[in-house]
This record gives sequence, C-alpha cells and structure tokens, in this order.
Amino acid sequence: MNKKYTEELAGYLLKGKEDEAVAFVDELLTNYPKLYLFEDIITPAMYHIGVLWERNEITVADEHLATAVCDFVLSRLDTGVYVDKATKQKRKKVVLLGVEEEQHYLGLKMVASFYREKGWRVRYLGPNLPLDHALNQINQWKPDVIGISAALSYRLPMVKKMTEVFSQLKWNPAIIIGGRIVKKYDLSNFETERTHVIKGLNELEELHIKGKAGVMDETS
Amino acid sequence: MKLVENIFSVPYLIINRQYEVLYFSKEVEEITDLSSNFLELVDEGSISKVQEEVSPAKNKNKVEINIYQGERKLDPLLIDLYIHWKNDLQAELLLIPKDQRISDITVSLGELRSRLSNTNFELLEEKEKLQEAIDENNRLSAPFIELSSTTALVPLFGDLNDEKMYTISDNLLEAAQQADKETILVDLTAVGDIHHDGIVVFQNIVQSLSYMGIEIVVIGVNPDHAQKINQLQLKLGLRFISSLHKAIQKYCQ
Ligand code: B12
Repeated sequence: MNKKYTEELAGYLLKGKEDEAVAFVDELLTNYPKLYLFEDIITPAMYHIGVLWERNEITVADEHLATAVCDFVLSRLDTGVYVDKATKQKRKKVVLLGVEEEQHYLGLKMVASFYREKGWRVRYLGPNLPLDHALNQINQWKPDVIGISAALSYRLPMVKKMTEVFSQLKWNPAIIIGGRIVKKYDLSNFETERTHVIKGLNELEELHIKGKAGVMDETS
Repeated sequence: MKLVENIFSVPYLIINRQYEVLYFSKEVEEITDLSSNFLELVDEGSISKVQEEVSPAKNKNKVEINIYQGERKLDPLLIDLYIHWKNDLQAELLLIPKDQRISDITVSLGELRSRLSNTNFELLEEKEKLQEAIDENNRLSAPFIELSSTTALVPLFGDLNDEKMYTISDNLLEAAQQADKETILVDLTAVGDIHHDGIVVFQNIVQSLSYMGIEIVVIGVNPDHAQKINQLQLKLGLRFISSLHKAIQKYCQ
C-alpha cells in the first residue's frame, strides 16, 4: 500500500509534475498526519529515486528535477502553519543547518517544518554553511536547539567538529544530528547528555515527547 | 598495470573481470588517485551499481557513477562511465567527468533557495509581531470606565470592524459582569467607519449584555453611523442619547 503511494509520488517528482505531486500529497493529507507523509511517503519516494539511479534507470539530472519538485511540495506543506495565539509563553528557538559543502537539504527542510508546526521559531540556515558563519548566527540568536544534517560519508569529520564547537556554547543548547549519515553509520559515540543522534522524524518526535533534553521539555 | 598512450586525451582504463586495472592513460591521474583495482576508485554509493552494470553480459554500456578524487578529501566526482567489453575477459572504460557547471549552478540555486526561505520566515515573524500589536491596539480601543456604582462608560475608538469587535467583546463582557452595572454608555464619538461585519458582532455583544440585565445606551452617534445602524434595523431596545453630557446627567445625576 505504502509502496504504491511512494512510487506514484516518485513518478510525479521525476516527471516534473508539480501540480500532480501537490494534489497527490494534499489528498493524502486528508487521511494522514504530516509527519507520516514526511517520513513514510516523501522520504521513501526520494530514496526510491536513489534506487532507480543505482539501477541505471535515471541520471543525476533527473534527481535534480525531482529535488526541485519535492522542494516545492515541502514548501506547500509548510504554508498554513500558524502559531497558536493562545500560547503566549515565549517560543522555543531552533537553528537548522547542513554542514559545509553538503547539498542534500530536503531532510533538513522537513525538520524545519516539524518544528514550525510545534510552534517553535525556526531559523533554517540551509545546507552548505561554513562553520564560522553558522557560529555567528547561533551566537546572535541563542537557540535552544541546534540541528545538524549531513548525507555524505565525507562529512563525518565536519559533523564531529561542529558538534564539538557547539557543545562549548555557554547557554548549553541541545544538539541534534540527523540525515543519511546517521542512518548509514553508527554515530552513537557522538551522543552525550546534550547531543542526540536522531534517525528520523519519528525518533525526533519521541525525543520531544520524552523531553529527554532538558530544554525540549515544554515546562522548562 | 601499464601506462598507454591514448589517441584521445581522455581518462581511459582496461580492466579484467576482477576489476583489476591492466592499462591506464595518464589522464586518469588527473581526475582520481589511481589504484590497482578499479573498485577502489569508486565511491561507496556507486559500488553496487558498478558491480551490476560492468559485466560482460552487458557488452556495451554507459553508466553514471561517482569516483573518489583528491585523496577522498574532496567530494566524489560524478562521471559518465563508458564500458566496452573487448572480449569476455577485458573491458575498456572511458571516464568522462560530468560538466562542472551543472554542479556550480546547483550550489548557487541552493543558496538562493535558503535565502528565500529565510526571508520568508523573517517576514512571517514580522507579520506575527504586527498582528500582536494590532490585537493589543484593539483591546485598548474599548476601555471600561466606571462612572458610578450603577453606570459605566465604554468609549470606542477607530473603525468598527469585526476583528476589533471580537477582541473587544471578551474584555467588555468580562468587565461588565465583574463590575455589575445596570447601564453601560457606549460612546461612538471617536468612531470612524462602521463596517457591516463589525456592527453584526456589536449586535451580539449588545444582545449578551442585555441578557445579563444590562441596558445599553449609545451616545455620540453621527448621521453616518445612524444610517448604518438603521440599515441593519437593530431592534435591540438600544437607547440613543445625543451627547455624553446629557447621558451623564441622566444616569449619574
Ligand atoms: C536527491 C539526491 C541528490 C540531490 C540533492 C537533493 C537535495 N537537495 O536534498 C542532488 C542531485 C543535488 C544530489 C547531489 C549529490 N549526491 Co545525492 N542523492 C540524492 C538521493 C537520491 C536522495 C536524497 C534525498 O533527498 N533523501 C530524502 C531525504 C528527506 O532523506 P534524508 O536526508 O535521509 O532525511 C531524513 C532523515 O535523515 C531526517 N533528517 C535529515 N536531516 C536531519 C537533521 C536533523 C537534525 C534530524 C533530527 C533529522 C534529519 O529527516 C528526513 C526524514 O526522516 C540519495 C540516495 C539516498 N539513498 O539517500 C543520493 C546520495 C545521498 N547522493 C550521493 C552523492 C554521491 C551525491 C553527489 C556527491 C553526486 C555528485 N558527484 O554530484 C552530490 C553531492 C553534492 C554535495 N556536495 O552534497 C550518494 C552519497 C554516497 C556517499 N558516499 O555517501 C547517494 C547515497 C547516492 C548514491 N547511491 O551514490 N543528490
């Protein structure tokens, strides 16, 4: 069932049919929560596109097109998220960034959406961010959480370095690391009390429900 | 493995079925660090693709793969791999890097996209702040002033639209209940435009107040307002008195 949806969506993405893709996702949205669409439909659709590439059925040029359409779909899913006016308390802040040179950002965009829906203030710095730029922004804005994303294995040293640098920040923000890199490699040695390695959005949701990291706890 | 002179100056290899490099052109070394086995040049994400596609069963083939470059410090290089099996044992490989411009354009596009989305959210945040200011302004547009133990005055300010009336409504009903007044004077002197939607909400407020046993007296109505209120045929038992002065005389002795 799921596979059928996934492949249908992958088809629209590859053919550059953004209207169909949006309509398809809108339709699913009437039955499924957004988190499910992100995690169990859109992400697998992109992974499926990766499989087609490995089977020599498509090229990276096709992936570019699919990415652009997927990006559009994600942006559409993001509109209409309003902050609940009743919550007058100070909103939490999260900064999201891809490590330097990284161009895979669709996952990061989903994470941005995830937090926005939670009513957090989100600063999405995008992929490919040099460390000192990131640090500048972070020092100014003082987020409660910093999210790092990386896909390529080549990014491991940079992810490690960023994590170390961010762990030194005075106000002690929580750090979460995600992306294909954590699905593929065992990064559990990065874990500390304030640093979490997160495999997907469901795991992220769990982290928040449990309030594992102090600041993530709504009452703190 | 042997160095061969290539008539076309392109990266060129001959491998056997175990992917061992038998011959190579010097151009190969310009794009990657040569190794005795071709698979060792291939990015991990492309290995299974090579194993599948570089096979004598597929005599001639072309695939896109990533290969390592610059001692793996740089990102992998995307190439077109042209495969031709000379016989069952040896294959010729041409390694043609993809046009770098595509990748450059992607980087620029990516940066533009991030900037756009950030601008978007900064705007959104500003909009939220503005909305808060409007709400606050609306709340302040209907102060509840106690004139005597039985009478209160509510002067309204600005245009009467539904948004403002909704904001006012909660405060007004709560204040009226707590203060326990018999009469509320609603002063329209400082009111600009009366919008149709606004007057409908006003009507609801008046209705609620009258259920609470409170009489509403509207003062400071100008001809324009009068017309609007009339059009709606608000038959709510509203009383109208022309000026605040007269009303205070009447209700506060
Ligand atoms: C689409 C795609 C592209 C697109 C980029 C899309 C984009 N802008 O995001 C383009 C065409 C630009 C691209 C380029 C390249 N790619 Co590419 N790409 C893919 C592909 C097919 C899908 C990736 C994707 O969109 N996934 C969907 C997202 C939603 O999944 P996700 O990132 O895992 O995110 C989920 C979670 O991880 C989580 N998450 C993500 N980030 C974060 C962060 C936090 C904080 C948290 C909590 C969670 C979280 O949220 C998501 C939902 O659960 C993969 C194949 C694959 N199997 O992954 C290859 C793949 C990743 N690419 C690969 C490569 C090699 C490249 C290039 C180097 C190719 C080249 N030479 O040009 C370049 C790299 C450019 C660069 N400098 O980064 C390889 C990597 C191999 C390796 N050694 O690691 C792969 C695996 C393909 C392959 N088999 O070779 N690619």
